[in-house]
Amino acid sequence: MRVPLEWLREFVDLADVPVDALVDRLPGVGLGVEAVERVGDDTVLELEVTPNRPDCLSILGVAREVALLLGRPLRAPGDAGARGLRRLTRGVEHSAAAGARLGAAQRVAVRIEDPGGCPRFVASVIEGIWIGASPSWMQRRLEAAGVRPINNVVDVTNYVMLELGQPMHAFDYERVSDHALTVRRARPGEALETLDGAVRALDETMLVVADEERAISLAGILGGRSTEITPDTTTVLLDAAHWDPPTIGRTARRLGIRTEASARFERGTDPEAPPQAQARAAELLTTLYGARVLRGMVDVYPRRIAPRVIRLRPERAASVLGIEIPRDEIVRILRALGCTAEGARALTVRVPTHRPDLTLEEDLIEEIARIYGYDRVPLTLPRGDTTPGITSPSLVADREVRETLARCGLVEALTLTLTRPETAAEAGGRPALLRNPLTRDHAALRTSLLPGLIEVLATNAARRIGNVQIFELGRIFQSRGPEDRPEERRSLGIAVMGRWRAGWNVPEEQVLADLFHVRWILDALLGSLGMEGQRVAPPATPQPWWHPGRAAEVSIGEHVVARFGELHPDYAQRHRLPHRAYLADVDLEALYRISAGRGRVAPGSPGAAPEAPAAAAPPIVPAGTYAGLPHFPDVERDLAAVVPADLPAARVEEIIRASAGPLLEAVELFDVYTGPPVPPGHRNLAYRLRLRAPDRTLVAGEVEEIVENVRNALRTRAGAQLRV
Amino acid sequence: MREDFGDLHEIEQQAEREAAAAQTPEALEEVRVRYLGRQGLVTQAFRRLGTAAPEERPRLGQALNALRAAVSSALASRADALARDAREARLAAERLDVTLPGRPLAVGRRHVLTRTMEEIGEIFRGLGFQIVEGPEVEHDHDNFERLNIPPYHPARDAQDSFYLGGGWLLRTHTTVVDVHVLDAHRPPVRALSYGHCYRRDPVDASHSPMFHQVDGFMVDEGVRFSDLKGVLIHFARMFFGPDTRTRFVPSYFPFTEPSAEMAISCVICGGRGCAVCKRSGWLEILGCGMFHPRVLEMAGIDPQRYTAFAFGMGVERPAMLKHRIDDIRLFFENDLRFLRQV
Repeated sequence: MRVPLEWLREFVDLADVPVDALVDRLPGVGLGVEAVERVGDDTVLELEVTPNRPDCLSILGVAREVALLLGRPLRAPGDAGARGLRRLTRGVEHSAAAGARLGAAQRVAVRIEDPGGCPRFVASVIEGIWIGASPSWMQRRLEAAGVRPINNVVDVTNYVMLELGQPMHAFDYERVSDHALTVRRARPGEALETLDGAVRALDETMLVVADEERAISLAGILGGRSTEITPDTTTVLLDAAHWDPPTIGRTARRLGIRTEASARFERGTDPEAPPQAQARAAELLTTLYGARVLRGMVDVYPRRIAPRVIRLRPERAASVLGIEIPRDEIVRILRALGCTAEGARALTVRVPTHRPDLTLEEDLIEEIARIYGYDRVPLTLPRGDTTPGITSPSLVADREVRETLARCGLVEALTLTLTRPETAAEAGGRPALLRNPLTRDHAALRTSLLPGLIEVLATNAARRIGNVQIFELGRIFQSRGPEDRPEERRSLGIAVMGRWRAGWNVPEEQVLADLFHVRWILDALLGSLGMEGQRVAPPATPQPWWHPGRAAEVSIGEHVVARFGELHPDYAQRHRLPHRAYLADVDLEALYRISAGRGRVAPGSPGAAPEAPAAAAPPIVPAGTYAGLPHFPDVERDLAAVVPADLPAARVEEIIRASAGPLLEAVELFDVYTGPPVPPGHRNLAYRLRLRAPDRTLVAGEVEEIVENVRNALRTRAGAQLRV
Repeated sequence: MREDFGDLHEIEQQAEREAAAAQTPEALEEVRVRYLGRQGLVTQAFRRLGTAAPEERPRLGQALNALRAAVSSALASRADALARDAREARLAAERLDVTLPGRPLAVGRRHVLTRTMEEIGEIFRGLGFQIVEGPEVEHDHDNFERLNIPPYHPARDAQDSFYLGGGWLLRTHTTVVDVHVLDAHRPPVRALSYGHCYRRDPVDASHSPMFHQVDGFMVDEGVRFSDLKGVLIHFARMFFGPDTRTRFVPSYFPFTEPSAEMAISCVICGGRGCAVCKRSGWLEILGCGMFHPRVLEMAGIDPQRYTAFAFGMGVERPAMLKHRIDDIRLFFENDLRFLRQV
């Protein structure tokens, strides 16, 4: 709400109040100052008015708050000055032109078919108007308040709206067929050309003002073209009505229209304001333009909206606020707000009709605190039973995962969950689509974290940052049907490209991230979650974005918990990546379930209702268990096996482990070699075996026996030739 | 006899001179062989013992042993000296230009927004809050109506939502998690949640269709507005520093009554007024209030018996203030130079 101070000063004396002081104090009563602007030789305050305070969408309403803030009286507005606020705010009596022969009631008929949607409709008729421009002072005020001057009649309606908060509409009387207005629901299929030239398709949830033939105005929102004020207009039909706020709000949103009028009506106007607005408009039209206002406005108000009565217990105010405000002070504040307050213990409070937001005891408690001052409420800490501070197990696990990856040198990225439908579809499954996206780029929910991370590699590469090691932990989504809640899963993505170590004289070929770099990171991650026994194998169903020969699946038991591999070179090229990129996609949801589960309760998934961490919730991150340090020496033996090149190393290792027996403490692959003298189609794998017994020193004989077992197993089960 | 012994003395002196003159371990070895080797002078001198008169033997033996000890010692000390010299020469040759730059290891880190959310979570956990999470896809009913925001309410304008169909939407605030916690637990409860939220805002320097929020509440008998102030001021000082001042001004949220906004003294100018605080000296960072009685009623909690305070804040803004970040887009662009700085 834009408030020209020059206008505000008509209502409240601000002569000795510096602008800065006013700007400082307004937020204290809930009127945030967005901007202070010089317009000509006046200052305009741009106030942030919260949706519950439609009364403050007017100069009068803001003046009321300012007067309260400064402890000053509210003055009468208008050029007449001394005529008194009384007549404007209370007077239904009419400043009718003496020359009018007929009353308005003889010239216009008003019927309300839907009193729920329109509790009150007040019409007046003004004759002998000459359409032209408004005086410059009025144009200046309108412009300062952000409203474009149109012509003298429309300007008066806008002026009154800005001043009193009651929107009005002016019809060309002669163009209203039969001079009869009906407030009714729009008919199915009915259309209306509004003032902005758009033709609006209406439905029966919408209210219109109609003449005998058709809708002529979209009620409370925007007038119709057919009855617009034109330079030829001589007689004006003015309406000021009270509308049901949700009806206006629904129609405005359905049609995507927001006007100064709809903004006020959907928040709730003062049901007592329509006659006051008519009076003020009549006063302006007669004094400024010599128009004749017909005697007696037509006021259709089938069921009067009575001021609300609320019971207020001062002790309740004290217990909610944490401060005892003296009863006298409470009563003083309520009266200053325009309420009446009576009663011995509990107060019976009658609320003024311009405050539709005050409906409950809590609303009054807020008003008391607001005027008394939030800054006078003391600081306390909660009393009563303490509650244990607990972090839910999956959030604890998230933290462990992030820490582990950061220790592996990865930087956490955060990409938007919203993506392009094609991208989401390509990454797998059925994406959930937005019904009302802002752009095509953000029209679907991601189904995997990888496309976003590849995008991050590309963005950085485009900025000449070619060495990127990142991860993201977030949720991915799958549609379960257009009307159903999508499945929501916790996921982890990893993407690495280029050198993982920098520095002078460090040979690039030794420090470029590769598949086994990612593999090690995954092993570290699984280890931190207490996983063991994971198996790595080529994927069951290879996806197009993986390098066909460089992709793998990691499984634990039945579950595939991760996929990793090299990004297909075609994709890398399309994204102009300077290096080969390696990716991993981890199903954290499954990992957390396996880790916490282990036969116990599974933790809540993010797709379910939020989990309730209780002290008994199973931890996902296991405490590391100390297994003791060895008491006896180990024995190391190397062996080199020439095996068929297509025999997976994991299989060879499996054979070694199985044939070596329990005394094998560790097996480490330290060399992979192809080329002469190894025959074509074969490779040489060199392993170091570490053997140890927990309770004694191994003797040469048993070591040789184990090694011989392993060698035999490799020969028979892996077709290996063993080099000595 | 005198000359015999004089002769030994001379051998000793000569050996010491030659040992001292040896410049390499090899040269010293030659000296050793010349004196102590099988044909060495000292070894030969010992042979004279057999020809000496019996009464001379003890003294001659003593003198010979002394000679051998002296020569050995001279050789040993020279060997030490040579070894020391060699070591020093090697170390001197190994001198590095210590001013060469270090070779970086990859140092990873969590995203600044993750760290901000976890830091806020830790502050409230210390106050007995349980830290929980909720889904990102919510139903319109929970996201709005359960928070006293009916359809077509003007407050929905500020929270224009992305809809998925069937009334499902991307949550516009983490306040909706409060609703689920209220449903699942009976007072006393203190809970806090954080995470992604979504609003239909076009991207600019201060808006992103996806952003982050933290929301918390406390419900019990006798929870007061003054408790809200006390708890939030504690938070502000823990997060922004002990000298932080706070200001509570009236505001409006459909789900709280009374409602307030908390501002902190500007962290850039200390409250004197600058461009960041629009010369007001204050930065609004958080909305709060006492839960509206209807919100408690809808969760089956008697608002006459129990009261509750609630608060919510964006995560980007405090992070931007703390790290002096001037554009919200930086959080989601993932430029490594940015991610490594903050």
